[in-house]
Amino acid sequence: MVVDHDDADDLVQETFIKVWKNLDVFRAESGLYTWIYRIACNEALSFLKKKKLKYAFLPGNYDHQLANKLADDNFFSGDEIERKLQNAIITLPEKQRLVFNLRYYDELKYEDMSEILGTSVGALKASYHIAVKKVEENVKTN
Amino acid sequence: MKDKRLKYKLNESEKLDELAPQLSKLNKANPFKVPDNYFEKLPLEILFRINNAEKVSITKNLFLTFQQPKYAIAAAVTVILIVGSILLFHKPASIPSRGLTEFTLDDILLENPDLIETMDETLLLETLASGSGDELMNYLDSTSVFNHAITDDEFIEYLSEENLTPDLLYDL
Repeated sequence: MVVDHDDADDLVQETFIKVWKNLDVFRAESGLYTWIYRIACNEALSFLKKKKLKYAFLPGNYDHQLANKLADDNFFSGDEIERKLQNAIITLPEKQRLVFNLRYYDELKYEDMSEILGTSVGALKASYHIAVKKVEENVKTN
Repeated sequence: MKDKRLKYKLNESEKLDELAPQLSKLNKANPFKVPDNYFEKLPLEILFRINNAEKVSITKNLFLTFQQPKYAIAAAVTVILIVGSILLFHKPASIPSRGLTEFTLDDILLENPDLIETMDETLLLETLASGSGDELMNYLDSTSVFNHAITDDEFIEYLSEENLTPDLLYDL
């Protein structure tokens, strides 16, 4: 979601700190892993929102910045086509990018995704469908 | 159950084939790696941050307390009272004030005797000649150089050192 390893590391740590602090309010109605996923997704989305706000006052946008980071990322081990795929994913809106990553890479069920993101299964299916189309198109053209 | 999940995954895969043939051919593995031993170190780093956050939160709580209006007003009133009482009851010792023009060259030289050495000779003589150098003269008289009375023996010794005779002095 955030491409850069240091940012991802920060988010992972923040997520687990929140998990630790809120363990007493965790209700076992949902699975532990969906609850942790929800915290992680919220953290990632608010991180990206803050970054976008910050870059709103600077030349160039944050998506462009992410693409640059990807080009210089030492922790990216994929080949050229995988880099193209990542560049295509970066162009998606944040929420759509999240849906794509959860479904494509993590292979989560729509039902679990619905619980994590608080969105209906139908809306998630539609969102994923659109995201896949966009990514496919982007990979083809680039 | 396992068959059902497999079937579900196969259906999804087939859908992806139809929906995005290029994408379905790609390796689905996450291409991002982490540094060596990252996950071994992670719990310690998180614990360290939790401990640090608890220390910071004590200070933060104190700060948040004073953000509440009743405490903020009480703190502000206390500060105003302290500053006001300091201003009212602690008057600084009065320093006699003099206009800049009231200072004479004498005053300045008496305050800074070292200036005499750096002073222009003409200016020094003019000062003494103008009569405004009385205090300066008194000062110079009081210093070790000028208040030392010369004895007759010292005077004769000085004359002999300079090859001067008392007769020569009379001729002057």
